[in-house]
Amino acid sequence: MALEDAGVTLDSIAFKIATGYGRKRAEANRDVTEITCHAAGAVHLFPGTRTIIDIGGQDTKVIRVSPDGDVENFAMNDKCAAGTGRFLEVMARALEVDIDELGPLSLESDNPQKISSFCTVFGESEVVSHVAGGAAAADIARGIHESVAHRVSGLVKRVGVENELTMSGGVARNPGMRSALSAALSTPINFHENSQIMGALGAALIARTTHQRA
Amino acid sequence: MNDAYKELLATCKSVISNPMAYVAEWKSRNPGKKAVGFLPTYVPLEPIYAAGGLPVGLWGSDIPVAVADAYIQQFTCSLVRSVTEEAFTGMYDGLDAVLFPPICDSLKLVGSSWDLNLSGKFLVEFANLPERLDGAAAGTYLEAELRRVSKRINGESIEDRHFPQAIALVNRLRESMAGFCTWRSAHPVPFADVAAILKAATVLHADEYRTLVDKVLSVASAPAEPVHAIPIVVTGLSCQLPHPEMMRCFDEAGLSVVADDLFLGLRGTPAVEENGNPYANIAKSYCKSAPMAIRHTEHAKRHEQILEQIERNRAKGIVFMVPKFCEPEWFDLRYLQEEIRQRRIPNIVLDFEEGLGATGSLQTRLSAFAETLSLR
Repeated sequence: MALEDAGVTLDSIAFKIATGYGRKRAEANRDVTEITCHAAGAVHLFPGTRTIIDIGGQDTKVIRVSPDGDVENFAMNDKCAAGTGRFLEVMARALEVDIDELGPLSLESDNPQKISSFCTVFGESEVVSHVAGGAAAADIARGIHESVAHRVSGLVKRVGVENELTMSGGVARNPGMRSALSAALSTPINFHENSQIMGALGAALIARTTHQRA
Repeated sequence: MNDAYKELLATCKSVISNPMAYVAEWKSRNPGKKAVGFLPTYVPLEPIYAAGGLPVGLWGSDIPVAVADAYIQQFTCSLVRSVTEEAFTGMYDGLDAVLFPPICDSLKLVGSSWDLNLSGKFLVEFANLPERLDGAAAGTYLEAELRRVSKRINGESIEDRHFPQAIALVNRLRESMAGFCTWRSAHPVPFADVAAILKAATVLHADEYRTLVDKVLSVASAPAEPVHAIPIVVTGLSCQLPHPEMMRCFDEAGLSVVADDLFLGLRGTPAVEENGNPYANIAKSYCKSAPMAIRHTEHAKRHEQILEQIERNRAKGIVFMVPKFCEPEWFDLRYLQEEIRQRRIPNIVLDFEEGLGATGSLQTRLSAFAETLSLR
């Protein structure tokens, strides 16, 4: 279907790169981690990028790249859904709002409610408590984003912040998340409307380079 | 790989998968002799062998922890929790004694819990090895401590005349481990297999281990096929091992572990003089042990050791594989990492627990690290 949308056939693809958690199982000429792919995509779209934040569904990655765009260092959260897209999904469900509405809703807040639990399960019960206590949905939503931003900013500081900072991945499309992260790190964040395909774009760029060298 | 290697690997894997079955079998062959367990990372083995006994390294497993949690905190490292689970569920009942080296607060405290609860099953004793090895008092103190411990576990003082043979036995065990490590650098084998073979050195009787390894080393094997994996050094594993599936992630990421600190407690203690006062000689050797996080050594010595490993093996990077909740390793890490960063050596920090969690994240980290190294 993606091929149809792009107007190409499988035969016309000269070199395929698989990336992401299922990369080893995909039929491709080569597999490359999403860390390297996100870096390549982000640097292509924003050449001044030195730090990339990718908040994914099950993990969060912070990647630092050299001025040439090579990955210099990276950090990932592990084992826990705190600070990931999954955390936001669960909290949106607890607030009974669509995940796409959660970010814009948080921007209406003037009294953010604190979500202190990193644990997704405990965080969800905190949200329910705030709802039961009569807090405004926008304030709870802002608290949720600030909680994730706090968690992610710790990861960013482990790698070291270097401007420019670019967000990649689907969560980058959430304006509430960009706002909370930008505030937590006291720095502007580059954002592209097609941020969710930044990793795929990077994979395609690496595929092109590899094929041309062959 | 040759048949001798296959036999070594199969025997080692079999023994470490169920060390207590091997202990039972060994005791049936050696009636009246004692099997003495020891906790990481090492206690001098010579007094145990001098009494005709079998030292048995207790390195834990991925056993689900339930009973142990009633006795110790959940933020204790997974090794201490898993060995305690095994001890409190009767898996070590075939042992006659267990020796605790005081390498960290967790082991010191859990040792007392074992003593309180399990002393009816086997003797629990502390081998109070010195943490500072650079002072003049360390050797004198250790000599006296080894005499005390030897008498406690063996129930009598071992005559000095029994020691030369035991000392030679342990010296040969170290030679076997060193010989295998040299062989392995010319015949790259999976990291998990290296760990299994070295781990078995702490369970199998030294004579049996030596025979198996000698067969491998004496067979002229064809030159190894060229390996395209990226050479790296791994540190942080002297006390605790990741699950074999985690170690397999290194191979799958295209990383070849060319040097590590697996079982460095035993491997890194120099040969003991066979003649003269045995306790003094063992103490003298221990005081010259390789620097490790569990000992009070100047950071510079451990840095030098790791930098030398990197240089000698032309490693392209280093992986700090640090057990969760391991205070000694995490304490050393910051100094080590600073030194490595200043020298612009690529590095990555990974933490782990003994049980097998999802390996997808570890695989991604190691593969991404390999990708960054391949650009250099």
